[in-house]
Amino acid sequence: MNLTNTYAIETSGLNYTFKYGRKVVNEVSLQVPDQSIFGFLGPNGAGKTTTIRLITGMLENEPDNIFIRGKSLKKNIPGIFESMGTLIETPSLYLHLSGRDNLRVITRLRNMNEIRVEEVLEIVGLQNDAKRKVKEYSLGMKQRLGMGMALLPDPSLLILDEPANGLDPAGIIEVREMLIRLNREYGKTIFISSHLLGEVEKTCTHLGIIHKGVLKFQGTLAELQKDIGHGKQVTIKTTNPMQWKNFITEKFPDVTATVNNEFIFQLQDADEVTRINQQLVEAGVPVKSIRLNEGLEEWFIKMTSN
Amino acid sequence: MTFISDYKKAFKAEWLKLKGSGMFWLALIMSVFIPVLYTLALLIQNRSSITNVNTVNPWKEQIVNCFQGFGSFFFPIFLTLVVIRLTQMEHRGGGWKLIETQPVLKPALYLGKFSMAVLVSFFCIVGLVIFSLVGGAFIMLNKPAYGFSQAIIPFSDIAGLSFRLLISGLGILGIQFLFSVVISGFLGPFGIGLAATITGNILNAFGKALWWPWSAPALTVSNPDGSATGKYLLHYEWLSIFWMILALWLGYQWYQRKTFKRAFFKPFVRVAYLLVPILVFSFLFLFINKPVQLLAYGKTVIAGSIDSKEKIQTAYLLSEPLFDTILEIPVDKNRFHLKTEKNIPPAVYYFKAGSMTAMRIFFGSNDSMFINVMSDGKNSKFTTGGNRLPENEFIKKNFQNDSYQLYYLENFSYEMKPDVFAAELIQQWRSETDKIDNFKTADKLKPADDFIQLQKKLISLNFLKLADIKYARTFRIYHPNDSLKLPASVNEIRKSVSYNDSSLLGYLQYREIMTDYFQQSLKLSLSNDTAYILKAVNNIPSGSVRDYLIYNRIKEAIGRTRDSMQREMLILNYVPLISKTKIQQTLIAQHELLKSLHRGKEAPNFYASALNKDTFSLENFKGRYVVIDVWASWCGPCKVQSPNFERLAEQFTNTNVAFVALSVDDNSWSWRFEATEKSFRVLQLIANGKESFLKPYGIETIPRFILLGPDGKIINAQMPYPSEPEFEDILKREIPGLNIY
Repeated sequence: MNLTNTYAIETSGLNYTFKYGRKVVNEVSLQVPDQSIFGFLGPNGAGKTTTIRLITGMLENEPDNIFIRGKSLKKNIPGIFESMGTLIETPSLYLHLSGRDNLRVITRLRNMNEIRVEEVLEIVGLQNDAKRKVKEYSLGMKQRLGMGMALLPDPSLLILDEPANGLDPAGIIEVREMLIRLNREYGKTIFISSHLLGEVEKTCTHLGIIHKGVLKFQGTLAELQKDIGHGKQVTIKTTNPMQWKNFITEKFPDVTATVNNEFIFQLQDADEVTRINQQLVEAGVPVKSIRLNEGLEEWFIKMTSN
Repeated sequence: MTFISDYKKAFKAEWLKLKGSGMFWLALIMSVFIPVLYTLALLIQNRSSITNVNTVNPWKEQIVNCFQGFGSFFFPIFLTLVVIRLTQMEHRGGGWKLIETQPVLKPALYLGKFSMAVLVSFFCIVGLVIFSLVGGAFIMLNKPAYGFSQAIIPFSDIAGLSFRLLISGLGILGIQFLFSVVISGFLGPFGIGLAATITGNILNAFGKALWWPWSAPALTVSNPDGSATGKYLLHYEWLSIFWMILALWLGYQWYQRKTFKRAFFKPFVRVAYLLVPILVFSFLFLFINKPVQLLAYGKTVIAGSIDSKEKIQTAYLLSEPLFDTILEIPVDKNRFHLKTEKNIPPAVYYFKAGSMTAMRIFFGSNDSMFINVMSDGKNSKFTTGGNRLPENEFIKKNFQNDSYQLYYLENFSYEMKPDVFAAELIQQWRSETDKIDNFKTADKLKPADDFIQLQKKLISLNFLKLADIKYARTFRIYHPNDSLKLPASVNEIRKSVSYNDSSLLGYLQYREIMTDYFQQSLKLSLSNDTAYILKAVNNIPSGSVRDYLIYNRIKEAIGRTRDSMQREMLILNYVPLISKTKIQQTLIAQHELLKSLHRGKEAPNFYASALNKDTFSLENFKGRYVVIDVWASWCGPCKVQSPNFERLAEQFTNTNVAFVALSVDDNSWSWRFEATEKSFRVLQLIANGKESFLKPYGIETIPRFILLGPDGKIINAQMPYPSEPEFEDILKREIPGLNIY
């Protein structure tokens, strides 16, 4: 099979129903391209973690509909984990062991050289705390150690569930940069779940959006933006808007006035903003502010709020 | 191959996880607790704990006691805690999802973790052995009289017991592992373990715990010597392994499929995963629990070895009660092997070699028996093997129908109405016969049917006697106008045995029961020997029971009578009434022996050792009066008399009088322990070969006090006890110029 045609993760019509019949994953067909950073986005309770637990074999799934690099997950457990690193929900750690020993557990289970432990400690910045017991670690340190345990086998596919959890802003940026580096320099495929759009937007090449168990979208960021018309609206505020309302709506037929007496302009392209501004100023309209509407976020909030 | 390499990986990872888990501390604390407690108890205790007449190795006793203290409760709880700790480290930190997303086979992970539990248990048992031995070393330094320094540490026994204890814990480990994996909390599995352990202890107390996995360690430590037939494991240890395998299988299925329903019911064919193993287990369970009856050997063979410094040329098989020789067994270079065609009715006999205490064995034609005797001259120890092994173990355990309930029935039956008495009698009789029916050795060996039948007859006879004599008599007293009618249910006992069962004649127990029966039914007078004998002769048919009655009476009378003329009369008039010449001869010999102990007769010589190991004989006391206190460390009445004897020894300090305490202990350690604390005015000796001393002096009971003259002749071979003033009077009368301080 030609690798370029194969997805790193592919599911076809994935379903999962909890006891008492609540369907948490509904016909989800994921296609995570190789060497992508795939953001798996959805509000809390959308089915993200359940999906991740399914594609890591943590939840029993009768049909054979999950494929990792074209190989059936069901038929290749546990060998398939050879090239997978996972961090699911809260990091899985042995609280009575030191950070270093937690990593050594993985090297033993994978028959690896322990030199790798020191490399990983450096990557996640825990060299100085390696000897301390994990139960003394802060939430962020635990999160970083969990990340380290996923990275330890140097896997070609990383599956990370909410990796930014518990990290401070600097830590979040660090992790983000690390993931981008791993993807760009080493060609790793990274599957991240998150409920934060901003986070995904800044890191991912691809994304999938899940809501109430249904996959609402998947594709590149650009495709999404195109889909929902990202950057094609500006909101303009004026002083004394009641005075200018009629004037503006007559001059620009595409404008709608909001209840707050802001004016929303539909654009053909981004350059149009300058032209509109010029026309308004020339007409003597006192423009107070111009804001480019972030359609993605609005769309996301709107979609996930009901 | 993948499984093995994966298992290795899992094992290594699990080993790392033990670090800092507190597991070694748990094992340490658990293993140190009992040895420390037991050692302290031994150190504080003021008297010898070694009163067993057979050789007791104090090291072994130390180990066995520590194991017994540890096995029944601490060990199961420890196993429960180990498994909980091992699984909690996964439950709490979310470790399951970590190890399950590694390229390692799940069964390898499951077994890798389980192996850690076994390993930690192993460490705990090793710790228990080490601390027990350290405790023993501590006692050795502080209490030399316990004899630790003279004994060799029985390492192979210790290894065997340790191994069996570990095996006996596997069932608990497996089952607790099942629960601890599927239940994520601490309290659930701990509650199960605790409740099951307590249940096990309760079941054990009723002797009904042979299948309950939490009882296996208790059963193992209660049989510290293990199999008598040389097997590595006893049946409940095998059962423990089966439990482990079953629990690991079911536990793994459950763990892998997350819920019980999904593991065994969904889809429905998975029921096979549950039922097939349970079926196989049940089959193995029944197979391993089935009692085995050994078959008769077909030839009559008695063989074995005698490990002793004594030169023994012949060993004897003797019959009760007169010690008739049934077999003479030639011994060559400490070994013997005799095949005989002689008809030997299956019964209890005595095996006697040299000066060692005779051993009771059950033996008969077509039996093969192996006897191993170990003796260091003073202490001896017997082990037996062969097809009568379970019978002999039953005898050794001294199962007798003297339960508390029976005692109650015997002594308080006067309060009962006939139907109540009969119901109670039947119930007790059933429980006693059940006891012999259900008797099994640690190896699950069951006595042969002939033995069971004989024992049951003896039991039935005892109960019948109780109804016919004792109860009938009390009934007559309380209801002089009514005639006793026992309910028909008592006939059930009557059917199983009769008073004239010739197959029982060879049994001492039968003769004792019958003596009792005749004494009570004929109202034989114990205060008048002549009347007793005459009435017995007139009312009891001639035979061994009658002989036995007369023999006992005469023997008792001549032992009691000081007047030699009167003894002579008894022998002349009544011995001829006994039908067996052999029994007649025995009584005459006894009479002759008593005559030889008369005043003025030459005192029989004997050899004895002092605390400093010097040897003494009568020769050493020539020219001095000798006052001898015959005693043993296990003899309570002796200890009551000893202080009086010592008081006199300290009063009379004449150099021509020697006060000697002569012990007939088998266990020289116990003797040494007691003797070292006694008055230095009394010379402490232990008989070299107690038989060669007891027999010529006609001593059958102790304490016994003997006075010998300076010419080596007997003055009084049966002195009164020193607590009586007469003792002192005799000394003053017989020994001229006795000083009083």
